[in-house]
Amino acid sequence: MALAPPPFVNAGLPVKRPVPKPQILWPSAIGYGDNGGSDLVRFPPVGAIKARHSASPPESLSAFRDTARTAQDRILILDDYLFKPKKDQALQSRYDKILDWFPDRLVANDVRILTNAHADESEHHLIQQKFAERAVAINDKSRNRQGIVTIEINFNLKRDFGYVHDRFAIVDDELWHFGATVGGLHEELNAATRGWDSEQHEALRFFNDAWRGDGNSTRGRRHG
Amino acid sequence: MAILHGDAVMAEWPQERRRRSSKPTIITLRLSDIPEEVLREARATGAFLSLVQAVVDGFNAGTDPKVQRPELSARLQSEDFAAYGENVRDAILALACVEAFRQAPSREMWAFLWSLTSDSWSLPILLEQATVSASTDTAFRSSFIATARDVVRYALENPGHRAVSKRKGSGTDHREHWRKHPQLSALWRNDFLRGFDPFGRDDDHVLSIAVQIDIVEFIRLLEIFDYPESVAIALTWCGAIWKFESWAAMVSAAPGAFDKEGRWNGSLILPLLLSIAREQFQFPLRNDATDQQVSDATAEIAKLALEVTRVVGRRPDALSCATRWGAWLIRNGIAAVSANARPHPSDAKSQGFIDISILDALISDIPTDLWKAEPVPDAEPWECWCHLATGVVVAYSKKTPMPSPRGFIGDWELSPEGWSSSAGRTLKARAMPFEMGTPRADGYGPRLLALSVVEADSADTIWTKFWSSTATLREIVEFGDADENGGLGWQGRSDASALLMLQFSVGLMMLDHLIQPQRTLPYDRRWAMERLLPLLDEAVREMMAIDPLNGKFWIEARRHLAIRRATWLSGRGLPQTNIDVITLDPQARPTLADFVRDLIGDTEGLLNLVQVASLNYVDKHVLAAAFREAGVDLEAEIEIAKRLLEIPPQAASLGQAQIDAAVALLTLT
Repeated sequence: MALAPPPFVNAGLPVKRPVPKPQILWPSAIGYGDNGGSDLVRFPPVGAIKARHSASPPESLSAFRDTARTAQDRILILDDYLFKPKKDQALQSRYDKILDWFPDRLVANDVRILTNAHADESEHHLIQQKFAERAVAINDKSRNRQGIVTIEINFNLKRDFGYVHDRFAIVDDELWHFGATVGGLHEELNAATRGWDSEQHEALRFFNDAWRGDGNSTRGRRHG
Repeated sequence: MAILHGDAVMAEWPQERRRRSSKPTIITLRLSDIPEEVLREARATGAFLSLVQAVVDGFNAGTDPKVQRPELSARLQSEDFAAYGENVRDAILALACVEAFRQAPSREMWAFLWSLTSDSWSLPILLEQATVSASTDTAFRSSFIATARDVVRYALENPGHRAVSKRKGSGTDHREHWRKHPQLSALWRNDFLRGFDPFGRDDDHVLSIAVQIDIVEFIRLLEIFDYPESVAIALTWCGAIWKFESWAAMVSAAPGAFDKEGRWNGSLILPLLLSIAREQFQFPLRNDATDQQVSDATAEIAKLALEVTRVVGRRPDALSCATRWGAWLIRNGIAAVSANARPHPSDAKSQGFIDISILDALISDIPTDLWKAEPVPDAEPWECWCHLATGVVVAYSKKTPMPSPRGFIGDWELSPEGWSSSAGRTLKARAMPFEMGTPRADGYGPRLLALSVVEADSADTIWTKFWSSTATLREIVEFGDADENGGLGWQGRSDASALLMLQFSVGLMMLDHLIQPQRTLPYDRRWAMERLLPLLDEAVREMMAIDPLNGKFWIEARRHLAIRRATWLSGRGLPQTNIDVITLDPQARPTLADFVRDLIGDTEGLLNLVQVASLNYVDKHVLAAAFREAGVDLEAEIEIAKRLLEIPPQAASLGQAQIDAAVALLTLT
């Protein structure tokens, strides 16, 4: 290199956010969960499974919703079908469930959602618009917030990084793994695990790789 | 299926070498594997001539190739060819197609022949090889190239004509878009393969044949295209990415893309080839790579960079290539290098190392007296400061005078009205490459820019003028953008504060160049340092007061100043060089105690400073003395910090590590 390495001051101080102990959770239905909520730490009873299955939309995993709403740095979501509810469920209700993760007083600034394209491209614009409006509301209503929130949605998961089957989320320094839709939005029985150290598992590096894509075209097909 | 191992060549793409050395080359079917006498014997028969005539007749009668093909297959199954195996029969049909083309060479005939082969896996390969083989005959070669030209011209006027019906229109849209918005940076970015499906089959494979016949003719065919997608596809899939040698031959044959002043003439081929070259620098290193692996990869990158620039250097427009491509490389390099924990392209493990290595190699090839400090006349808005940064690297590399920062400094002088005018837009566009990624006060881009500033005049004098010229930006940060509408009330503030963060970063890097200059500075460094430090401190204070949006950056900026004051500016912690270490008077303000005093009442800030000081080897006794002098009760602060961690722990900007660092200091205060 033409230039010699400079002397270096490490003035940055990334604060490691606490990561809870690993845990597996099942979203069920209101009233069936622990403490009267809908989250369970064991398989739900059949009644809860049926109640959840017939709900439209089903209850999201409140542990994830609460964690996302109080995120301090980032909320990164990788889920190929995040914005696609089951056939008889209104799109709007799915969008509202997701928007609920980003309240007006959100502190985190880095919000990115990596998902698949919709067959109807006009739906992309609608989704982008809804989340852009939410970002504006967050920035406007908290004038003293540190930094500006950006909610980016990338619909090219399948096209640019079609290698991923499972769904993941990173909230601050915690990695979440979902058996179905992130946030427990799928109506069928599914579980999620949380409490994984995103740094230890190189989750941020992986997410950024997927976000950038590798330039190859479509690979693989979904199978459940 | 034959399996061969290729021979080593001098320069190779990394992928090319991996294919050669680790995997056998898999060759499917080759015409040359069929004994020549077998084909000669078949061609001498009347049945072969009838087969050729059947192809010609089918074409003349306008027969659908899907109908014609079974009829030809039936002929091949007849007793005339019954003695031959399937591969030989396919080869005979391919040769018959070539003979039919020889009799009636035209674009339409070629399209007919190509369609005839489309339902077979082997026939397209054999037709391609038979055509290449027949091209040893000059007349055939000429007629094929003439036909190829017609095919390409037709593709030009009908972009996407081979696409599936719902994508056909998009080809024209792409072409029209490029005609209206041609942009050199789009070629450097070379994203064209991502949406290539409308164009992929437009050329009826004439280009992949032409490249085997004559690379110069292949390049001439590509010159016909006036939009980049088809050129990018052809260059990529006709050998540029597979063999360095092919890429080098294409670069040598590519038409000039830049004039002597560096202006781009709209030519697509050379910029795309250079972009392809950059993409071939694939030296994957695992996170746990050994020092030896890193060292090897570092050497290989440098070597390949030299090979690439050697090829570029043989072109008459080499200097202009270096100028324009260099600006793009540095644009990518500065963002990537700044993402490293230590913002320097140290080795192959560092992000941005490849871009900067290629840039260094390009510069090493430039004659000292030919580099032009002024940006090229048609520079895109983002290029100007990148050109200045490249000029800085040239000056260091060639030991030539530093380019003047006058234009750079002048860009920042904005009146309140100027923000919404072209001057404001120009400033934002020029700063954009330096603002990519997470802002950091010691980024690589600001470091390069600061080198030109610090050599222009006494650093304190120039910083004073520089900072006062951006009063308008600070007004926007504090009071908002009066001209803003559309519901994005924070956009103007955000843009202005991003610029001010960059400006401060340049200032901080000026201080670093004073502390440890890369070359001798023509003025009193101590005098300049003693004045620059408080000026920068004042700038940070001002910004902390008016820019809460970026509070984290400004808090970190203060820590940068505090640690420099406690270490380098006090004669500690600098690596030994032949440059004099200059130490400030211990009483020169701000002292470390001043920085501590400013944090009184901010427990998180105090404890974070303790930990950062510890990470940067600030003498514990010096730090403890500063806390004593500032009158900070560290024990009380630790207790407050413990309570902060309890309610709620995830929101606190400190952790146990900060408390531990403070406890370790406690005994000394």
